[in-house]
Amino acid sequence: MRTVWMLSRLVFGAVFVYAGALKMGDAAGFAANIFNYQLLPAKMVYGAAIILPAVEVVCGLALMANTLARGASVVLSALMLTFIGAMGWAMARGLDVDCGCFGGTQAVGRETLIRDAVILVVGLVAMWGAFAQTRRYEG
Amino acid sequence: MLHQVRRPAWPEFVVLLIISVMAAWLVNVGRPEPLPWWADFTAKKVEETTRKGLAVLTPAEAIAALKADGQLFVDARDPDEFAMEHVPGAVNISADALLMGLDAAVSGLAKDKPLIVYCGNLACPKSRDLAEGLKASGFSALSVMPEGMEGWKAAGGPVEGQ
Repeated sequence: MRTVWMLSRLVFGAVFVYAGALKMGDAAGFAANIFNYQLLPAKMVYGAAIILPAVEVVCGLALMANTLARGASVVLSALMLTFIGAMGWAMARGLDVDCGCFGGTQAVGRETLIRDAVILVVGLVAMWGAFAQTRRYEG
Repeated sequence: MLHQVRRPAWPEFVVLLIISVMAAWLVNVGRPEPLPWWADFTAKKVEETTRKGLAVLTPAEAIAALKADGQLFVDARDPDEFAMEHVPGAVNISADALLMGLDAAVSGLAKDKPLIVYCGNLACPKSRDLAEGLKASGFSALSVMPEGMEGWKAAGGPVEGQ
């Protein structure tokens, strides 16, 4: 079980470090992605495009290093849920938006939703492990 | 007796947030052109268009222009998007023409024809890119509608297509 948790922690963390780094590299493009979802007020788009990739990279690294793992796994799982919600919302409204997930121009669709759902499952395992670990050490 | 002590998780959120904000700030100031933390994305996109020396039309102005004679709308999106819906009477010159050879794509157009270029929405760069290309190849009466098809529909503009 410990191996499963360690693997999920490393994979989930690495996915966010990778995705966050790509978004950091093209923050203006990521801002355009966020704007397209039409979920945030236009004035908050740039701020979100600056801070979200940093949160992804910092929490991803923390999770991989097993430091502040509970906080990092909760933040990243919540982010993943938000992304899935935003995609579902965009699809329900028929918006033709790029996912903005890993840079590039992949359109939002069933495929991106399923991929993110799988990543979320890995994240939930990582979160469960992070909390279980604390119990073991301190219980 | 089982006695379980658990550190609360919330200080971890605070620490991660502080580090994230600091990292975000550092990365942003390190960019050649730092992004503003708080700025109207819409206004910024329009400003980028005017900065390139292109005239800008709001959807309402563009709707008024549709009713005037002699204006030609140029849809810079891909052919399949154009086929789905477009401004009535618009021609489709995909921004890809910039790579494939713009001169061939605009061979039938007079250089002094008033053109209004648009694409999907504020976030898409195609209308600006194509208008710049058209300007460079000698078209003189160019305008861009940065809000694109989305803004056009939101302002109640008529739509033609499948």
